[in-house]
Amino acid sequence: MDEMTMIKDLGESLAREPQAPGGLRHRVLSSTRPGTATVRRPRRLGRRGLVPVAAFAAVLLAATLVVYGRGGAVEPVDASADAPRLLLAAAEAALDGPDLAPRPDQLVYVESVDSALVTEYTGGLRDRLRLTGHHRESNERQAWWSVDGTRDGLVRLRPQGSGGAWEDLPLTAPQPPAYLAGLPEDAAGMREYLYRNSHGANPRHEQAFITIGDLIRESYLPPRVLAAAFQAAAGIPGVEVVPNVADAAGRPGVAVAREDHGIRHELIFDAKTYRFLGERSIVVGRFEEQPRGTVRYASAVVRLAVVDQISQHP
Amino acid sequence: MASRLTPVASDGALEDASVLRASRENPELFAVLYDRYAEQLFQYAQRRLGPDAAQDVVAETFLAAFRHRARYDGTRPIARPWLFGILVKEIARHRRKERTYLKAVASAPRETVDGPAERVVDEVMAWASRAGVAAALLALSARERELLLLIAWSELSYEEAAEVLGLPIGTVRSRLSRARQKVRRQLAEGTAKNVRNER
Repeated sequence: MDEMTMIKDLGESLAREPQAPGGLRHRVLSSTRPGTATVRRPRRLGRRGLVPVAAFAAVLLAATLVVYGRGGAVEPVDASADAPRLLLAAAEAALDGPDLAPRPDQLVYVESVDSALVTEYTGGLRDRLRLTGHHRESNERQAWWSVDGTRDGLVRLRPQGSGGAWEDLPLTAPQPPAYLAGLPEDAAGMREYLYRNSHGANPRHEQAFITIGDLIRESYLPPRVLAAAFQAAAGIPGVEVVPNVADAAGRPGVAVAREDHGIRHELIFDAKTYRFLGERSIVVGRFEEQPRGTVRYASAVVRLAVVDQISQHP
Repeated sequence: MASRLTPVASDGALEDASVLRASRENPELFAVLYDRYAEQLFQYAQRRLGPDAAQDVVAETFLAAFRHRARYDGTRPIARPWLFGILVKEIARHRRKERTYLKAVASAPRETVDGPAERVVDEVMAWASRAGVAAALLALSARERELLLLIAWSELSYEEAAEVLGLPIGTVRSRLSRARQKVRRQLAEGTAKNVRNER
């Protein structure tokens, strides 16, 4: 036994508590929540930053915009359902999508509906935080992202169903490219890519699944790349099927999901055509004292196209 | 065990740097950072100081991180080295407590062991080994001990440890190698002493 192993063994014998005491969390968080009045909603600029938002190719019908439910019961996983088969069907559907072949000087336009849980609270710097509740913010969203990332972009938001004025959030270049050429077009290559290019701090399988969402979200993936991503998802351990879900636009679908640390991440597909509709994260276990069934985030892609200029609609 | 020490992004989608940036406007989000790293920080701290003092230093670490979150270098997506950097400074403030804690281990009376002979022998050996290692660690300088234990008791890589302690990677390697050598020598001498005593 070398000295490092002996030191590690000593460490194990000194670790009397298998877990940090639960009271510690409260102690820390009750004094780290300053703030004033009700929080403004964090700006959802999307992509690698704050906010998960979904995306996909193919022109979908403008969805009926319904207010997303506040969450309740959790749709159960169907353990007998065959996740790889569903993903294969999704891969085939992806192959039917149009190849938009964007030029570097163009913009990828993504129209979507998203819905996120926002926490309201009061409290001062030295005060104990008082949570005053949650509310859901649901927005219609139009985004223009530079294909190669060298041009300015734009995100436009307005409350879902309001029919009101749009709020403009300019995106200054450089930005992450909306289209990455040369991504793998086969399942094995994509699998390797997903595990190699996962930059989060999660366990590897979880991160690989999350990276698929990151790859699709408000980006353009050519049909063969998108198909490869779905096929690669089929090979990630722990992937399950949730038969009856609705996306953020209220469209019924079937989800391929992976649960980790109390949150289930879902990629939602049309139940008949298997076209990609969007994504969703829902609390299914213990997570930050939120009730089971809380939908933390949901997004549905309504339309994706390539255009020449900011604020131009296809 | 390993999974508990693995950094976990509880919401998956956000990098630490983004969480910290967002938490400036929405402090509520700081909880995400707590959930990702509290367990690792606590596990390391309780090995150094015992569970009670560990709670204090971990709480202090998060409060300091929260106060200074606007200064976080946003080009570093993972906040683990930053948090451990604060933690080791907090632990260093308890240096006397740490030495007392290790001394208690080094001189702990052997517990009475019952059971099959093999088990008794195993446990007595384990006791002797732990006490010997604790004594060897006590013989190190505070800086050597800090680095050696960071490598042994957290899951930080050499690169991360260098960042935590603000040292060049070369210094980490050489200091670690010297510390390990000292511990080896100390353990060998300790064993020789025990053998002499028994004769």
